[in-house]
Amino acid sequence: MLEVVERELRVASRSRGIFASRAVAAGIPLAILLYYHLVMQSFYGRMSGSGLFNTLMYLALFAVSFGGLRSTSDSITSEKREGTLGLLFLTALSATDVIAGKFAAYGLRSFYSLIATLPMIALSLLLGGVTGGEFLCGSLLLLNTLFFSLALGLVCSTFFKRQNAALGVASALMMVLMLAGFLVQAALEWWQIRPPDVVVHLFSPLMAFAKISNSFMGADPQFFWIHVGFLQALGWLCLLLAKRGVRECWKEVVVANTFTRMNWLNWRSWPSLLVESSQSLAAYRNRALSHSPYYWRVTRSKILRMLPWSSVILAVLAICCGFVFDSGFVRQGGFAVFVLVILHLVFRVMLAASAAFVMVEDRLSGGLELALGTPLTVKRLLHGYYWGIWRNFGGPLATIILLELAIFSWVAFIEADLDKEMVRMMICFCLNLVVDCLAIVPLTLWKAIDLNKPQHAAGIAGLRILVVPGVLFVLLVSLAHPDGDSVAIIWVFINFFNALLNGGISDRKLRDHLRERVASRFTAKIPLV
Amino acid sequence: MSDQAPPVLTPAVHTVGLTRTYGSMTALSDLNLTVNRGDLFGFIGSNGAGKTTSLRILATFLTPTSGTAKVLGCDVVTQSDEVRHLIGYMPDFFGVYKDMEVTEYLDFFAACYKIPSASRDKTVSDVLELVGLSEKKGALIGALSRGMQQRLGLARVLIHDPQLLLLDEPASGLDPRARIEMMAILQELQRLGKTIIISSHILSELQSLCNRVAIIEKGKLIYAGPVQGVRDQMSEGPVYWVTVAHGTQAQAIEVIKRCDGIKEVEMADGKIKVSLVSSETDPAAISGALVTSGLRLLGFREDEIGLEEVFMRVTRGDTQ
Ligand SMILES: Nc1ncnc2c1ncn2[C@@H]1O[C@H](COP(=O)(O)OP(=O)(O)OP(=O)(O)O)[C@@H](O)[C@H]1O
Ligand SMILES: [Mg+2]
Repeated sequence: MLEVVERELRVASRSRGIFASRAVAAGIPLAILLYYHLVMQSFYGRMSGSGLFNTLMYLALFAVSFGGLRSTSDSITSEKREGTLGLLFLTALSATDVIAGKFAAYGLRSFYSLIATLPMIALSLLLGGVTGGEFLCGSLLLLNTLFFSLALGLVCSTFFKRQNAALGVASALMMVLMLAGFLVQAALEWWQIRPPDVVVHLFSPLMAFAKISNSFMGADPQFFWIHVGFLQALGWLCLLLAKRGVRECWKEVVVANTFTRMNWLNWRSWPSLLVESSQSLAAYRNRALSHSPYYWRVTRSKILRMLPWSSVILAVLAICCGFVFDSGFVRQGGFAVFVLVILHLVFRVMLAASAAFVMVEDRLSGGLELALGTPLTVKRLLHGYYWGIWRNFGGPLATIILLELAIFSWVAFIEADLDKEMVRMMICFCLNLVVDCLAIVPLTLWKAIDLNKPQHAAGIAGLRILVVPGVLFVLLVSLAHPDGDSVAIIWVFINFFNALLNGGISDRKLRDHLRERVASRFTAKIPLV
Repeated sequence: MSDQAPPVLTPAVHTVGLTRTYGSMTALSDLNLTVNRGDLFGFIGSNGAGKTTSLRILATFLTPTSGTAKVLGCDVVTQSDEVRHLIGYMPDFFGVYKDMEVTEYLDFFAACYKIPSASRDKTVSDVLELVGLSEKKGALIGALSRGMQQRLGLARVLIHDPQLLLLDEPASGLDPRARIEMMAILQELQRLGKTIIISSHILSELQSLCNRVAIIEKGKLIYAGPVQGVRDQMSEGPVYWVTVAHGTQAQAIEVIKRCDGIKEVEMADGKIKVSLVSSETDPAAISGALVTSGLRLLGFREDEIGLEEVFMRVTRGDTQ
């Protein structure tokens, strides 16, 4: 066991990331701390530390929940890819050794980051309002969540070949866990059963903390331990599964994409829910390729295709939960509108991110340049990109808009006199989303031609499409004080003009310069293979 | 292919005054090069000599600063679409999507060449067969070894059955065995009538493989022609190695010096190295003179000067 840990630690110590992640982990709370101290206090006077403590704890819990997944999701997949997993078993190591070694080694980085965060969180003790006991409980909660998250990442890593598949499934499971409380409650209330409070708060660390911080240790001290014990048990279950899985999975190091038939009784075939059979893949490939090679390239990953749907489904779930929980606020549509605003933002970001991701990967791998060496025209190539991205996002976008129409009709039905202002805003809202989405694709693709990091391209596109018109709008409205009707028109107009300008120019530039940019950049800058 | 070659054969590649500059740096200057159809043409130069630059111009990725280049009669700038149909370019990087399967990857490029879907399957298995990757059909590219990825690159180049192959260092990074296999594949392709231009540093292999070579240095063409001709043009005259009985070398040198057409005589490694003024000089005169003066002639052979040495001689090893 120690050999595996030692080897991993040696590799880890060579990477600079471990320092960077610790610095980031400590830096973000520090920034929030400063913000609290400088900005909030100057407005509201001296504040108690508990607000800060809660904010930091929520953030940290969220980060730990998904950060842990990220650390371990590549632990076994990488060995499988390189075909070294079998080698480990040729030595005297047992499955337990491998799992424990991987867990310790890959978890260490996250653990360090968490340890670096704790002193920052502890600073809120100085502001008063938080007791040492609360801090200790919070730290324990974080550690416990990290343990579970690492275990979940590890088990997914043993069942998948590619890291993004492992990470995707692990994140989805984590999401389910976070929402499980709501779902169980909604289900129980459907059957007219009033669920005990514990059920709602048990599953998700965030919800658990919400309960704990509300009635801290006073009302319900056992609950804290129930939750900790629950996550511990789940974590150990994951590790046990991983141990069983790792013993089997290394034998199929052959990287053939063998498709196992879905069989609900055999847990090993469950991943095939996400992976399509090779026959259906080949049939799809045939159809898509005759459309355009890049159309297939963009739409081939099922996970990328499901990403936008997942955001829509999450939003619908959130709205449904909102209906179950709240009454007054929801009846006026307030909560639904709030969720939809977030959804609109997230949707744009996802669109930009996936466009940027595809382009950067194509360019860095050199595949795009090779394709440009074929008779494939730039026009056909761009069509492939556009249509492919719209195949992934078109359905979800239409669903969002239909959803909004439905909610509106419903609200209009409930409330006899509908707020005209709100209808107008909602229509603008949908119009803006569509226009922005149309513009964001060419803009991001164009930006991604020059940048090696997809997130940079997506960020710039987001800035140009969302922030710039927003600032313009706020400036204009605060200067001119227009009435209600014109505000909406101004809003739509600015947005439309901005999108048209950005999208149109980028599309033109792509058509004219894509070939030359891809070829020249490639030789000039990027280190190869 | 070559069986139905047109009556008047345009050369596979013909460049006139091809020049390419990057800012103030001239990567390629005034390249005049003709590659005939069916040639296996070696393109030799040290690092930064301009091999990749020339190949990328031919592959329509770069536009020349001045001069023209024609591929099978089509101009690379004005008729770039036609040229792209005719050539297969394998760059000095892999350009693979690591998360694609081998067949997916080839299907993808087959679609780029608009190969109809009905014949795609067969084409893909044919090229895989040719490069010896048939067993790896379903494998993820990321899981292929370096040599296999290189072969996959070759398969990709062949997918649309191009007449001219431009291969930029296809053997780099391969182990000796894989290299020999790669060379065998190339010879097979030449036999099928393809024209192949291959750039490389590995000169000893090109020597046996190529029928014609070009040597390029600092963007300038130094030599273009048959492999055998390199020496005649590059080295001043033929060189012979003479071995005589121990202790009689000094005497032998005196005898040889008295012959006609001798440029230089010197001792090296216990043998006598005789450089002639030109290939017209009859080497038999030397051996005759040695024998008639009563010396025991143990060995007499012509110097096998390799491409390697010619290369070292004409290029001073300086890179730009
Ligand atoms: N995009 C570029 N920008 C500026 N200079 C370049 C660029 N590409 C190539 N060069 C320069 O042009 C010259 C020729 O480069 P080229 O890549 O053709 O050499 P090469 O013969 O292929 O060398 P190697 O054997 O190392 O591959 C080099 O000096 C190089 O620095
Ligand atoms: Mg090169």
